[in-house]
Formats: sequence, structure tokens, C-alpha cells
Amino acid sequence: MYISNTRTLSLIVVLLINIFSSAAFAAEPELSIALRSTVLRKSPQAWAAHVSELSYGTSVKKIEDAGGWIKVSTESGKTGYILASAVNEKKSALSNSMLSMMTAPQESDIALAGKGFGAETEEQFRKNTPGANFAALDKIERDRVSEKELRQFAAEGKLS
Amino acid sequence: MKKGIFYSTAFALYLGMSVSGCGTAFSSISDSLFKGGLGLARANRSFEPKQEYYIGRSVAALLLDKYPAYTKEAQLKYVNLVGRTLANASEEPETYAGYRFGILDTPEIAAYSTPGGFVFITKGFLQILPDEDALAAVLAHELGHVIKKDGVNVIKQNGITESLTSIGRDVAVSHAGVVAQQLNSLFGSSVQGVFDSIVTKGYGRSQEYAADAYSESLLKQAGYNPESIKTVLSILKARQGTEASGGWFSTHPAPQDRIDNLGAISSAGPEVKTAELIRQKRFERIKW
Repeated sequence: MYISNTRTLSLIVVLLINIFSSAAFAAEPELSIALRSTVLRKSPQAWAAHVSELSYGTSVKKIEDAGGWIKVSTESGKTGYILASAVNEKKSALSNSMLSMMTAPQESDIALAGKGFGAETEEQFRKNTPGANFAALDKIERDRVSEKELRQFAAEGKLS
Repeated sequence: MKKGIFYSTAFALYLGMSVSGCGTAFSSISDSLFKGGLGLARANRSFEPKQEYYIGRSVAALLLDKYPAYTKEAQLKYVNLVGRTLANASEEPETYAGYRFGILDTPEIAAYSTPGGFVFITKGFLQILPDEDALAAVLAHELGHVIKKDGVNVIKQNGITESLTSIGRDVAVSHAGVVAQQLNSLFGSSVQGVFDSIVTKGYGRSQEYAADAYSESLLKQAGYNPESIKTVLSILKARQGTEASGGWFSTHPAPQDRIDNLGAISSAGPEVKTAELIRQKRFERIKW
């Protein structure tokens, strides 16, 4: 009887912890950078000074919204502003653990599925489509405009 | 037996509370199973920016098979300066790897864009534009397609996102090996679908009208003359029938319909018009 009560109590405690922890995740979702790189700036403006550069997948915590921008802090303790569209919500630990309980996919499938369309699918596309001109595209993709040049170009043309 | 009923009830209660009280928990699970497992993480995003980029890159590579790239550095830099200035004024100033603007070395009159922010304008189009504001109007129209996700929506309409969801279920129930093959196949279909839409079929009248309206508002936001989109459409109207088929003439509504759809555009103030002349001078220094 005692054992049964203890088990019951433990189950309730575990359930409550899970429920409250998921509520906490819902209130403060952890974010990760969704772009190859983005600039953490001192203020929420396009030309504001740089604090640092954040690369894809970097975890950040939202402090507050700032009109199309969000104020965030990084794990290394830096604080600044990034564009609100530059982040993805990270999945909570709870949902990941529940997912692993409910499914048993192979590691390779998880890795591939997690990546979705990306470098691997492009590689296969290149093999299947030899005419696709990635060499010319790579030249176009090269960054030929600096932030300073953009700022100067806008100022000379009396643009915002 | 009673204990069994209790645990069943407790688990049901747990799930019920998860669904009602902490919707995020249950929806995250289903999202992970049917969307997130493939990186389709955000409810308002069919594809993450990184996936849009890879789709857009391959569509752009097909475009560069159809048309040779124009490679003069000064001209490419100028088009990128105009395009990036517009992008900075938009509600989506950054894409996964940044906006890039290319020139296609063909006399056809056309402009194209792909998911992820690759925008192209033909040399033929550049040669008939009178000034920088008109160039900005064309690029802003294309940015409208990118930002409104018209390319990604083609993939949705083709039922490919449902197929991705289906693969998500396969991942969940562990169908090893099948996933990679299906994913590669769906990637190829997605790329071809977007390419066909931008080059041969066109997006459709409503998307084109919306992109024209977007061009007008983005021009204004960036400080360009918003009337420039009408200037471009009037130039196209004047050339209609004299051009070989292809380009914007075959994939877009008639220029007059587009002008009518835009309606009245409030005239730019004297300050904008003065600045427009400054911009025209730097446009005229560029030889295409």
C-alpha cells in the first residue's frame, strides 16, 4: 500500500514537472540563428554599430521585442539587437524526449530529415542535372558590396 | 487492475493537459513528427530560410543554364547596390545567405527571382530603362515575389509539402534509406516546379499585381519615386507587339492591365524628384 502510494505520488510529481517545464518553454522559447550569419548590433537600426557576428545555429535568448528587431543575449554573455526574421524557435527538450519515446528512427534518417533540403540534396541535384550552372551562380553569389559602400550609395542618392 | 486503470487515466490526463493546458507541448510533438522532423520548424514558415536558399540556388543554376551570365564587375556591383538598398528598406532585409542580384546576358526583356533572394534582370531590360528609379522598380517587383514567398507557394500548390509531411511520417516509423531517395526526388521536383513557373508559366495575375503594388510601396519606403513602376509598365506597353515572345511579355499580364490595376499613385514630392536626377546621373554613367 505504501509502495503504491509512493509510486502514485512520484508519477504525479513527474507529470507536474513536465507540465510546468513545458509551460516555461512556451513562455520563453529558446531561439537559434536561422541565417548563415547575422550581425548583432548595438541598437535596432540597419546601420547600428556591430557587437559581433552570429552564425547559423547559434543559440540566443530573447529579452524583448523592438519593432521588427529583437533584443537578445548570447550564451557568451553578449547583448544586442538582431532582426526578428533572423531566428527560428528551437524545439523544447520535452518535445524532443517525447518524440524519441514515440518513435525509433535510425540515426541516419534523423540526421537527413533534420537537415531537409540542403547541401546534400543540392549535391544530388547537381549529379542529376549536369547543365545547371552552379559555377556561374557562385560568381554572382560572391559578396561584392560592403556595408560601408551601401551606406554611402544610399546617402549619395538621398535614399533611406 | 485498479492500478492499471489509474495509470491509464493518469496518462490520458497527462496527454489531455498537454493538449489543452500546454498546447505547445503537444503541437511541438506533432510538428516534429509531421513538419519539424524535416526542418519545417515554424508554423508560418513552410521552409526555413536555409531550405529556401538551397531551393533558390538550384533554380538560379537552371536559369544560368538557359541564359549566360553577364560578368562585368562594375555593372554587377551597381545593380547589387540598388537591389540591396531596396532590400534593406523591406520587411525582410536579410535572407539565409543575403540577397544577390545578377544580370543575364540576353536581349530578352525579363527579370526573375528565386526563393532565398536571388534576383536577375536581363541586359535587354537594362538597356531600355531610363534611370535608376526605373531599375529599382523592376528589382522591387522581384523582391515582392521573394518576400511574399511566391516561389515557395508554387511548391505548396504542387503538393510537395504534403509529400514532405509524408516523409516525416516515414522518418517517425523508421523507413531507413527510403527517406534520402524521396527527399532528393522532391527537391528536384520543387526546383523544376519553381523554374517552370518563373520562366514559362508565370506566377499568375494576382501575384503579379501584388508584386507591382509591392514595388510601389517599397520604392516609396526606400526613398525612390513610387511612380517609377508605372514608368516601367508604360515602356513595356510601348514595346508590346514589337518584341519577340518570351520574357515578361509571355509570363505577365498585359502592361495596360497592370497599370490599371495599380490605380492612382500619389506624385512624388519635389525633394524626391530632385534626388531622382542625382540618381539618374549615376545610372547614365553605367554602360550595359
